[in-house]
Amino acid sequence: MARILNIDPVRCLALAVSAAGLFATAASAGETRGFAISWFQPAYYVGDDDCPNGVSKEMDWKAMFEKQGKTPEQIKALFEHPLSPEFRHAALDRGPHGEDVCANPESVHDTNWPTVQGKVSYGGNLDGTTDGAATPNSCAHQKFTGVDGTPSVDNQMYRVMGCSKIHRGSKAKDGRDAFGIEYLNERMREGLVTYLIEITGITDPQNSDKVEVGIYQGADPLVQDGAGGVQADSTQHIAADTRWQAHTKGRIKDGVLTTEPFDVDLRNDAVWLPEFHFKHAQLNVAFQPDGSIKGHLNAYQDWASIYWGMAKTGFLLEKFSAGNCPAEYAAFKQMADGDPDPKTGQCTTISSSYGLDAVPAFLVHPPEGKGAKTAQATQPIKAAAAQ
Amino acid sequence: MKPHLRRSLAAACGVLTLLTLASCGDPAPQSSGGPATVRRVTKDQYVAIIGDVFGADIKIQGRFDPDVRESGLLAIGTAHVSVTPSSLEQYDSIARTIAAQVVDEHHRAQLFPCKPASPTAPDDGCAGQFLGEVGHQLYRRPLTGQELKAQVAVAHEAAGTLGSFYDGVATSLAIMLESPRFLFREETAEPDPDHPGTLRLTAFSKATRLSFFLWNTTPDDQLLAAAENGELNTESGLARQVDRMLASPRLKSGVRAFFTDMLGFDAMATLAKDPEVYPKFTPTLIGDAQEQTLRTLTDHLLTRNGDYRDVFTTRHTYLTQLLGAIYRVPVGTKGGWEAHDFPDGDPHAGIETEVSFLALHSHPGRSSSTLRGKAVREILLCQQVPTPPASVNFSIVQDTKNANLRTARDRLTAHRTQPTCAGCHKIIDPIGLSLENFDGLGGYRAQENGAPIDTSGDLDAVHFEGAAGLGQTLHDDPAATACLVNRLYGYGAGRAPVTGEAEWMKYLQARFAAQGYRLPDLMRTIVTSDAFYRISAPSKPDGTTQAATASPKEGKS
Repeated sequence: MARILNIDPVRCLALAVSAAGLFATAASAGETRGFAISWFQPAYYVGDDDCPNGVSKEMDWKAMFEKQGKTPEQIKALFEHPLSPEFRHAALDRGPHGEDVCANPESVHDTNWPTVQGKVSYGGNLDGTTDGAATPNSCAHQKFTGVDGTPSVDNQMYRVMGCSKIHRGSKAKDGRDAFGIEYLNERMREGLVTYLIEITGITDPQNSDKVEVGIYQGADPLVQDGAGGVQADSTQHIAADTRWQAHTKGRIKDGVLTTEPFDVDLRNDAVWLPEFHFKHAQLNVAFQPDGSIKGHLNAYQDWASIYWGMAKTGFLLEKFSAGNCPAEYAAFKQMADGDPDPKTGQCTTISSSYGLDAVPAFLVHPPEGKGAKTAQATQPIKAAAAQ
Repeated sequence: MKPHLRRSLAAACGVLTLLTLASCGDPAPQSSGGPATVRRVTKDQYVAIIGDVFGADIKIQGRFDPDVRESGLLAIGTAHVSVTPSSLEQYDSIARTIAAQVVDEHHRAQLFPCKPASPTAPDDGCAGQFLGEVGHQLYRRPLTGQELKAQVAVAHEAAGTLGSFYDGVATSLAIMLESPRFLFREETAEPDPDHPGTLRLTAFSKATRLSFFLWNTTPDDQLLAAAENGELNTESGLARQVDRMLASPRLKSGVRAFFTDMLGFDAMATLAKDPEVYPKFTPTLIGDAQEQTLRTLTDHLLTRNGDYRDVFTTRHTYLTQLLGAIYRVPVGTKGGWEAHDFPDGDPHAGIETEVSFLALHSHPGRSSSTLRGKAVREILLCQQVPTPPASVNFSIVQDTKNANLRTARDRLTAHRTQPTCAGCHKIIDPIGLSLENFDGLGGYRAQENGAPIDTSGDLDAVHFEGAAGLGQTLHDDPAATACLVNRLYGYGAGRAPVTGEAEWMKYLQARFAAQGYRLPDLMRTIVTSDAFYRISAPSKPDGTTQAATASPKEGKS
């Protein structure tokens, strides 16, 4: 096995542990590898010409207040206390009947939101079409070309959010340094959430026709290493609650794992998006020489939940994140491309892509049944090993 | 005859001789004893004493001067250190903090044997009772009448000035905690009536040496009572106390302290690794690594009463999740420890393959066959390796990215072409190279810079393969067990064995072998012997030896 898999004896032994657990449980052939996701971000490509109108800007509150008929003295008083309830009220409650526009985004018609105009994006072909034409399962939309040249890529969430100030990072860092993305990952590394991947049935990490893939919410916080990253080879318990799990099948070809579509819900940061609801998801990750994996999770997401996740912060979104509730809502609604409502035809989901890195980890499966607090020592420990 | 066979036979013959020596009922050979010592209490001992006397919840805040290592042990170095003005300031600060806690409202009811007539005025009776009892434990002997009187006088005056009985007592207690009588274990000797013309430790000094050796803390009430009533100076009385102490859970603390010293774990506190090279390195990990080795040792040597030689080959250990990431094994226990057995064939076997040893004897950004080989010789075999000459050019060994010298073996081979380096490297590198499968943090690797690692090694003409081979070689090397005996005895006595103890040391080694290399048995042999408490007569200025004379009685006024 060591020769075939090009792994060292320690890993070989770890695999033996893994294999023993597997034979005892599922009688699968091949090895098992576990991973803890160490980086997870909406994959927003940063090109030279995808935001020709620039990125989103904080709204011109002064002009808005003037339009609302406020006197210069009133405006001056508001700006003396920009965090006051008065400012918040004047800023947000701008619907025709004084509605909070974040809570009632359709109360005003605002299309002043910069969307991506570029032709290139991360992602996958989720609707199966070459041109983005409407199908029974999708709405008409424009396709991208993948960053690696893959044709017919769907990533409408990028089209909506790719020019958002807090979501757009630098080209040099492939967008990873965007405030919103760093925030998401810092929270993850601080222990807020842990996402785990388990791949079983690997007969050859370069080419395995039939593997099984589990995507799990982790029960343990990520372990940070001394360099500020996520520690490899840690032991991670899988959360017992099966609501946050999914299983699918996949294939490894030339060192790249591609799965069949699956749905999975994962808990997330309550400030931004409390829960991910990934639908028709596909995992596309490449095995790296250091034993980690890198790639993308391409999936449709319930766009309304994304909007409401952001909009619940209301004033924070608009005042400090260069957001615009009604305009973003309108953009989401317009760009949504998946799962049309049978009655209205309005698409309810939006294509998206999430970049991910994951380090090797030993995954401990919980005892049978929900609610178990800790894994038992007698439970099979499924070992993961990098080469 | 092949070298390793010749060596094995020689070792077997040596052991046989020792076994014969120790199993024929021969009495222990006479020992000259060595000089009495005055040892500074270490930080760990200070903490243990305060915990024993006043309770573990007393906080100790302050900095202690570092100890000095001599003859391989800090325990010996403590006999050659003093208190500098700056450390006295620290002791003063620590003492005052402790005293304030002892007399505060939270602790006084529990720690004081009496209540003062008034909390705002001196009470010599109550102060004397408290200070006498506490002083007995802190000074490891009863206070003399004069000492107690002086302490009570301080408490009286301070209570009057401060308007508080307890603050007065705290002032006196702080002075006791700064006293050399507390900070130093001062040994005194007396004529040995059973061996006229020789000296032995006085009973209280004997109790102190015994307690710090076995428990790493101050003698408890029973041991002090045995010293006071003369029981400790009888064979049966000493045996009773030794039995009690060896059966106590506190023995584990004593054994941990010994190995912490012998293995040089004091250096763990300042161990640093390059996070870019070893991102798994964290202070918590290194703490766990030290604890792993101490748990491995105490489990094997105490809980299982195992053969000391097996510590170099054992595959049974204890891991945390952080350590599991280094060894690349799953550890399901959250926030704690779990037992782990490395399977046969796994490269991890013996304490020399644990992270504590491998990381400690490496450079911040790379492994070091030289440091590891040196550590094996000096720490595990008690052999002295000369320090390198000042003019050595290390550029070859430091260039880990040299495309032509991809492995440590390649680089060291090139380095050894320098004549000034060859002599030492020849005796240390072949040991360390057998551990090259472990990087500078202890993580396993099969290759370095893409080149397979050759882990063949040799130790004094015994050739072996890899870490497991090194472990087996150490297991079979009589120098390893002799080293433990030497270190253990030196640790207890506070000095390296002297020439006049040579036969006694041989006897100890023989007993150790005859008893299956069981550490508790070795400790029992040491502490129940006369030799352990024998004090050599001090030399006169002209070099001759003074006749043994009586020393003043301790603890009496």
